[in-house]
Amino acid sequence: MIDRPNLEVEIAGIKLKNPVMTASGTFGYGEEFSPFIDLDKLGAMVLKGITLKPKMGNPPPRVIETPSGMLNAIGLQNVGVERLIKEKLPYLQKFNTPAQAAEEAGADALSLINTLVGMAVDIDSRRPKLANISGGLSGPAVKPVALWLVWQVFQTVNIPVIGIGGIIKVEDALEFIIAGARAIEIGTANFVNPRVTIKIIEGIERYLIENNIKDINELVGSMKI
Amino acid sequence: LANWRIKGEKVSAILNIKVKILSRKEVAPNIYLMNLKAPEIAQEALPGQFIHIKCSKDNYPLLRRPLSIHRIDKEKGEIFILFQIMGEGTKLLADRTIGDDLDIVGPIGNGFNIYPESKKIMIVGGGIGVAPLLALCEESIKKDKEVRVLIGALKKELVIGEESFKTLGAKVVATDDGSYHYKGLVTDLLERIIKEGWLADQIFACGPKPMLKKISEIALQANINYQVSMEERMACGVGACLGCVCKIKTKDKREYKVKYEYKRVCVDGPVFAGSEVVWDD
Repeated sequence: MIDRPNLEVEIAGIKLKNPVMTASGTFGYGEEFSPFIDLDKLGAMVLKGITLKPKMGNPPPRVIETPSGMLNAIGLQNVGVERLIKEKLPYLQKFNTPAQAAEEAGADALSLINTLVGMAVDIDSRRPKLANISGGLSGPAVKPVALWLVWQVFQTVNIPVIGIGGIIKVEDALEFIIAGARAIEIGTANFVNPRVTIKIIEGIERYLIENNIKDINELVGSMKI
Repeated sequence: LANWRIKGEKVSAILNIKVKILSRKEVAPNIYLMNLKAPEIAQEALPGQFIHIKCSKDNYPLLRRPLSIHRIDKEKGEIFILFQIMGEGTKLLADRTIGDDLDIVGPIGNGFNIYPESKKIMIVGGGIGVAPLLALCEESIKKDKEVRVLIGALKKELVIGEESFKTLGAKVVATDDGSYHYKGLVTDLLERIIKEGWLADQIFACGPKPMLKKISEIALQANINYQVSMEERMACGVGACLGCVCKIKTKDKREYKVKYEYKRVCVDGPVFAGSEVVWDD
């Protein structure tokens, strides 16, 4: 038995203390979740996508629940680069957790998948349930699609793959890691359980101990076929 | 812990806790009153705040449901929620067993702002919109305000909370499609009361948007401070996802055209000044 397995992974030259990150757009600017969790425990925080100028976003309704998931069409509402640097980053710099805007990720790693485009219709008014008509589908509904894509891409590229899509419990995260994800991102599940990221980090550690795995990196892409 | 300030007042951090269901009663067709043992929430909660509830025990439906705090009993450490079955989430919530633990996040939002100098308070609720108003009524009476409550509903059975408001000592008038106290819309009733000379210092309202919009016009004309509790489809409930926004006028008044921005109903609201809401939807 090992008591402290290694959870550290490296993505595009950035060392993460564990493979659990937050998915862009689901974690605000980080501080929204500070009443619930210690942000220092996260592998990394991925903030909402940022634009040069502030963006107003789409009219409501912007979100609607669908079977095992939700559709969103926020329209990239954000404070703009200037206010991000002035107002949001100073708070995040207090933490020993890398934070970066989604757009900066570059091509030293691949993150997949984004939401899948979908729609929902109100049969009484015969109008789309989202003001934007279509929206991005996220949540457990997209997990099998994301897993399949992570596995396929993992087999064809040499750079780290970040697995995203419908992870709400530790078993989901482990599936992605076994299928080839060096790190994973938690999105919609943050809305359901604001402490889910920490629960998943603890669960991954427990799994490694129980299965006598010294290093998380041994588990990455270890799927047997 | 992150705290934020509203008008100089410190609002406590949001908690994520499990609370026990003490009772559950169908008070009108499809409308339920539920009592929760939640001392931590009861101590901190302000009238107008809400809790974000995980209705099921598993992950279906996935998202939480935001429900107003209906009553706050600090002494007993209890809070009440009043809700209407609108879909799968609220249906499951209504079916939960007494004694069950409910996973909630709260208290969330800014709450109503009762001015110390106000003497007369007018409270207007439409349908299930009365939910956040009972706690407000109780607080107003505790602060020695003279309170009048107007309740509007589609039919008599759906006039909710009349007795509860009366018990607190408020003067209550209910209206519906024509078979109850007053025939006509609750907004017509409000106009009549103002015309008769009972001028409130503040009007508080919650209910369907057309009602809220009409009251905004009435309040503007009568020059009465008006606060409104808004509702929108919500996901996270903690200000992160930007899902639950409504149009709020921006401060810049130099230009003729109304300018606005999208504010989050969950943490920037749910209470907004009626005069700053853009009522075009």
